[in-house]
Amino acid sequence: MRKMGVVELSFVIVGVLLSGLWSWAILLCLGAFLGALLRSFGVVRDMDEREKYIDGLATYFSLIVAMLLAMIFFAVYREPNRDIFYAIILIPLLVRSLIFIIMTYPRESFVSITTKVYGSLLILFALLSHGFSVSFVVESLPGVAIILMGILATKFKKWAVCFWVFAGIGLYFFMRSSIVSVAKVITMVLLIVPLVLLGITAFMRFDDTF
Amino acid sequence: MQVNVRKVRKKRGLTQEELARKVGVSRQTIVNVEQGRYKPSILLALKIAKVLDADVETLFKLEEVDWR
Repeated sequence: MRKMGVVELSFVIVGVLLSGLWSWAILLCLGAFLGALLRSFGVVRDMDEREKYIDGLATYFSLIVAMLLAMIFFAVYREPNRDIFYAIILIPLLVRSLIFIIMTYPRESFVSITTKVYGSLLILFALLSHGFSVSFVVESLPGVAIILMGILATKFKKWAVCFWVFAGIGLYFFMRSSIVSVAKVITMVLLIVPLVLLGITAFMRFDDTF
Repeated sequence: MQVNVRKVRKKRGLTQEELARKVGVSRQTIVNVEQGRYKPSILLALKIAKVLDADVETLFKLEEVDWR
């Protein structure tokens, strides 16, 4: 199940990154549904019945989020642009992944998996933006910090506060600027929502799922 | 629904992990079944009953509230 999750996430990242060079590469994001398709044809059997049920539930909620976003952007902007499409693709996928992981894995695994994926993505984006340079080292520090916080929060509960401190810092930088754009909203949602959830989860008992 | 899986499993000396492996699901699924948060399919209920050597109705009992 985790291997398929990594494959699906890779499709989304490569799709979004390549779409800047070649628009049709965005279709690679459909790879997010590769696992679900292979499971429905019986090719991959990596989930039990409860996990399949949660996967369906998470997909249902992500559809609601996608439609809601599409309607809000239509009401606010009238004319679609590239950032709006990214928001409609990425935010529901984030919602789907978070709902699935939080309901399927024990809370400890949720914190561990999410911080590793999240931190690695921040480091990857810093590397892709700057190559191996001083800027890369500086910009990858938040990613490294999140991975470390994940390790510490699974051992010492008090460290869970750091997730909220990080979310607060992110929110402060978002609110400081008076210009609100779709790109900024996407960045805020993608960065802050997982941090807030991580904080809540890390403070709860680790012996169970939600 | 009253769920007696935990009680019967302990009587048989099985851990959640062992039961999960024998019926082919994750441990978290057994945890959720035992706590009554997930209602298993007929197939899974029969498998659990078989592994625990008990009747399905011993493991899962309907309650008045389930008829509403």
